[in-house]
Amino acid sequence: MSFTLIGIIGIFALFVLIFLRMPVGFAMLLTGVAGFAVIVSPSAAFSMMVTDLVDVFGSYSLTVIPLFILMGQVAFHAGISTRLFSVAYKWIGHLPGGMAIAAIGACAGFSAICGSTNATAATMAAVTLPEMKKYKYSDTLATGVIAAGGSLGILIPPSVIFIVYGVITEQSIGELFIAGIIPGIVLTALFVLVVSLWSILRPQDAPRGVKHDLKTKISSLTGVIETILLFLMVMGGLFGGLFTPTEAAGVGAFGTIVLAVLRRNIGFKGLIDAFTETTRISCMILMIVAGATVLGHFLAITQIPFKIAGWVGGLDFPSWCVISIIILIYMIGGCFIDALALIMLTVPIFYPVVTQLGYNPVWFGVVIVLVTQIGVITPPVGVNVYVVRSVARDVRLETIFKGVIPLLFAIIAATALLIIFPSLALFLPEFMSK
Amino acid sequence: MGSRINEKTDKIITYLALKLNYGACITLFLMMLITACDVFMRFFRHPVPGAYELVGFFGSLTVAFALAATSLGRGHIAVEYLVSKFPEKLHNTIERINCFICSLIFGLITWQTFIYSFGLKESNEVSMTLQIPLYPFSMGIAIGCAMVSVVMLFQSLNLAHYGLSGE
Repeated sequence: MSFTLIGIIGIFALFVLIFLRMPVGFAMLLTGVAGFAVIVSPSAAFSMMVTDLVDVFGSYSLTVIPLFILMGQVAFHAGISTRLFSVAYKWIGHLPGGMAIAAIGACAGFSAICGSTNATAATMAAVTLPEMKKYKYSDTLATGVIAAGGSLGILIPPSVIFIVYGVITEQSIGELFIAGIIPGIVLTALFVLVVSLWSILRPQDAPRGVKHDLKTKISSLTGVIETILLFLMVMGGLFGGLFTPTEAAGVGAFGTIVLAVLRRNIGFKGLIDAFTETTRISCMILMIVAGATVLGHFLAITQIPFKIAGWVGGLDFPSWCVISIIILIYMIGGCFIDALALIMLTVPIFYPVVTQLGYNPVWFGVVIVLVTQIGVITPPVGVNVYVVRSVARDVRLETIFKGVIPLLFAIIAATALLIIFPSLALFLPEFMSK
Repeated sequence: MGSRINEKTDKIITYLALKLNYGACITLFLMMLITACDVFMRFFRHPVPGAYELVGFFGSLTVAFALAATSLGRGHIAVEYLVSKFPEKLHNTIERINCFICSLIFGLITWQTFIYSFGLKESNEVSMTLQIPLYPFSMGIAIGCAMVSVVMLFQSLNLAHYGLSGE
């Protein structure tokens, strides 16, 4: 049996295991070890598995993940997310759809200190949904906005997916972070545009809130100071060349704890909850990375990624056509598989193709992060929708999916803009490197 | 009788997994502290010696010690879409088979990681900067994986619940 055929059987077995609900990281690990054992030898496969696990779990560059997650968790337990929403609400709550726009603004602000889409959606759902309910916002608009707004969590730095993409493609994590800023702002603006139009067309879905005087608005600004301070400290240190990404995350997490403790916003129980949740989320992410590393070694000896890259590179199609097909695969795949798992599975295959076609790897990273966010809010998987549903237990899933549809167009429009104008992602990294 | 065994084993498994997860919280705290101290002390030209390798070591223990609690709390990403459409009995059977296979994989990882650790101990492998022996950290990974294997085995035998107590 040829190595390629063994590889194809392995990929098929992997998808069977994944769709039979074996955890994705474990399924990748099992397939990788079994395939490697068939091609080389069981003892070589076991040795490769242990070395990969020890290397991934102890990788200094990957320790950035738990540290950034810790920063977001502490921020949530310290009420930073609540204060962000309160500021945004006081400034724009009286406008049509103002509270929903404030929720998007708070999602964008919280994304600046939290690197996960699910965590952003869960946090902002807990903070904003009761308020929107109080002001009689429709469930469709309120829940849809939070599910979609959570996608800003991995576009605006720090971002777990950018970190993982940077590690597997050997791209600068700092450059990827900075490349996500303008697309993140563009997506935020598009979300605001959609919500404004929605509120004008269906005012009954978004009753206006109370108008606050200028004094209240200005005094509320103290609520964003800590977020700005933390963002500037982390990103400033990272881009100013003072810290590595891991150091930026460590300093950020430490700074968030110090601020929260000094302001008496967090108690011992809150800290324990933040740490416990962080270890569990980090473990889940790093298990996928470890599984994908083992699988990657198996696929490398089957030569499948290189053969696909060579085959696609030799096709007589224009490069835009190939990249469109790849983006379409991510769009469809994202509907069925978690964004991180999909990226870990497919980037080793598509990355050589994309670079061979001459596309910028940083731009490609931003595009696939954006595209996989479509899957995060669309059926059947739509993780963020389930996350919001877990908070808004009285709202039907169908209602949330319905609410997400108009905002989905905003993500598609942002992706199209990024493809037509790659400088949206590349301008800042190029400007910073000058 | 059956339900008594369920309750007892479930309690013990949950207790052990949570205790190990507290270990992960401590190593995570140490990672953060070492990184922050290293950056701070660098301004005074006294960086923490071996910070880079210590953070990596504690990182490996953080993940390994959190594995069992994450598995017990069904925290690993899995695709529910197809299996959730199956009848409950078939759904449960698939779930238990999955747990059994995962228990075997982690049993294998535990065994191989112990062998790897004994190899490191015998050859006196130490870290580059601090010259700390490497084997205790890989042993830590082996212990974390052993706990996952036990958790998954008990889940496959229906002796431990899916989901941490209180969830």
